[in-house]
Amino acid sequence: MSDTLLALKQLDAYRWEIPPDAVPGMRVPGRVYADETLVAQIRADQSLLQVANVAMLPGIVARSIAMPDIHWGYGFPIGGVAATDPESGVVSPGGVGYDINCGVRLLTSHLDEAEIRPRLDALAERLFHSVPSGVGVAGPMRLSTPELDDVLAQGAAWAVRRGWGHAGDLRRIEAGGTLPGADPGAVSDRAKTRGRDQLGTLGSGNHFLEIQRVDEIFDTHAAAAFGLRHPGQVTILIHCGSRGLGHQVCDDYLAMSSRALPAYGITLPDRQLACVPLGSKEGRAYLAAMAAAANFAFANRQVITHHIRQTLEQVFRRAGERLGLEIVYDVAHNIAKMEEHTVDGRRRRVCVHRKGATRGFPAGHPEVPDEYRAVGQPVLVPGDMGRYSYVLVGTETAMRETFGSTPHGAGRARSRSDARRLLKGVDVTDLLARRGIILRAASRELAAEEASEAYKDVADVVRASDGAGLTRRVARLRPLAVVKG
Amino acid sequence: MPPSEAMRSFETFEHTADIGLTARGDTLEELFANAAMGLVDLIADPSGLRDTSHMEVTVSAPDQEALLVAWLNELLYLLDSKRYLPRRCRITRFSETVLTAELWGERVERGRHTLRRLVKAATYHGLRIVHKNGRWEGRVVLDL
Repeated sequence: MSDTLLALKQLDAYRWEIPPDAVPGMRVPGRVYADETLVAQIRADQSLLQVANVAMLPGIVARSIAMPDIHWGYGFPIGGVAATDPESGVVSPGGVGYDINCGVRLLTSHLDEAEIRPRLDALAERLFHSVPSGVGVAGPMRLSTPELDDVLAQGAAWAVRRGWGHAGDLRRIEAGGTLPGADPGAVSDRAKTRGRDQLGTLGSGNHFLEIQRVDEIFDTHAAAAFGLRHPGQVTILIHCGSRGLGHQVCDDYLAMSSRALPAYGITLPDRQLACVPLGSKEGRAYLAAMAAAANFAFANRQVITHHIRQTLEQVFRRAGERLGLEIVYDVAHNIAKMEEHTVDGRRRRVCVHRKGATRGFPAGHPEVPDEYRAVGQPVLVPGDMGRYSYVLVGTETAMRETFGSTPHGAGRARSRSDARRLLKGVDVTDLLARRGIILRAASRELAAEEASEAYKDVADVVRASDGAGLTRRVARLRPLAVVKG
Repeated sequence: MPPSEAMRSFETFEHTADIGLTARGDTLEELFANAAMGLVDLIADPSGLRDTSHMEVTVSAPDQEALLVAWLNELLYLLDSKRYLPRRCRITRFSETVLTAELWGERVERGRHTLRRLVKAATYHGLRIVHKNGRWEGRVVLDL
């Protein structure tokens, strides 16, 4: 179903508005960041209707926002941003989604493409095993309940304390790798059971581990600050989240919110948007459980980083310092966070929901690490496995207009079944190999579903985001080897 | 000749980011059992699964549609916590808000089973159960 009848007013080349009277019940307008080409693609599914639905959330501040990579999700659109007021507003577990703190981490290295090329096959194979992925696969450890509670309370800091990484890693992670306010007691036993042996695993679907090379640098000053030095330099990108533990937290609190809706007099156009007042006991419990699941995801990416470092040290028989596997940054793209923003000239605290959107704070912001303070926070935007990914930097415009939010990826252009139909009889692994990209995927079906053909060109997303001034391009990275569950 | 739409016990429908599952049955019990088999079919090739391990589960929810979501999410919980996937199932007790099911399946292992993809969760988005052409039909969007 498309929603071509939904009113959409063009404000400028990269900004569109869904007026607040477009759909009954909207409390604020919708704002879409896209150019004409992307808007035509966006209108092919129900994502704009989802932007309008989000505008109906009680206490939503300013506008319901859609990034250029917006596509049809469940409840919120993927690429949706909404800030809510702490007193009159709500928090929506469905708005954060099942994969709490699904996010991306980028590592740089001292290696060159020429150096890594001869061992790429072996390296992909080793990583496929040292970073487990896919269905029914356990991670490298099984945590006791007290250990798991420590992970939930401390996040990546727990992993570093255990020796999986160094203190410097934490500075390069959103929120220092530990979201405050996490309460392991707010996480159900079912969620803990699901997560007990999943730390250090990738998951499946669009999650991946990618060895890349720097393809082009657009902003030498910012790139140098981020440790991206020259074309050909090897980088590693990790995309994964909080695994079954996070999915269960979302499921538990969606059920709770659903039951609580009548008591708070909230009616919604989509059950998946179920929400509770931020100040209610249910709202506070969800935020505490969500923060705990987010910490699990930060710890997960930290443990994976450790295994990547160890694997490269073994394959290249070189000490860690000489490989230089440093974190550029680690960002969440499914999360709700209490943040301070200026709205209509007034500083206020709001709860920013980012569903498939990345925080992108500008230069000078106190939450940007010291070494990046002069340039801004790195924004990591993965594309598809056959093309490229981007490193961008946050701007003041994003701070003013989108609660410091930026795009998170390419966005799907084709459904999974469409992609499989299109690529029937095509060996995607072989196709990529002929272009110099090694793919280690758990199944042929998965390879087809995740092929370039299934995704929008992330360069279009970046062009729209840069055009609107939400981000600035820093560098483009190209895949050399991809590991997928 | 492929079976007509009304005959198929389950099939998927298009959703840009995720995947939709439609399940049918002459009774609601059959619809729920078929939805479970549709979910399993997305995760693994069911023909490679043995039915050597038996389990019984009870699931509850505030209403019938939410019960479908809770039921599918229970199966995803069993997959994460016990690596268990059912090859077949039978709903033995069924009401608007509670169901009990018997499952026959086994522990999944990479290498021995053809595993397809992980499903994160069954969602409430666009969720509905209707009585259509003399059969029950349920639709649910799954997060992949």
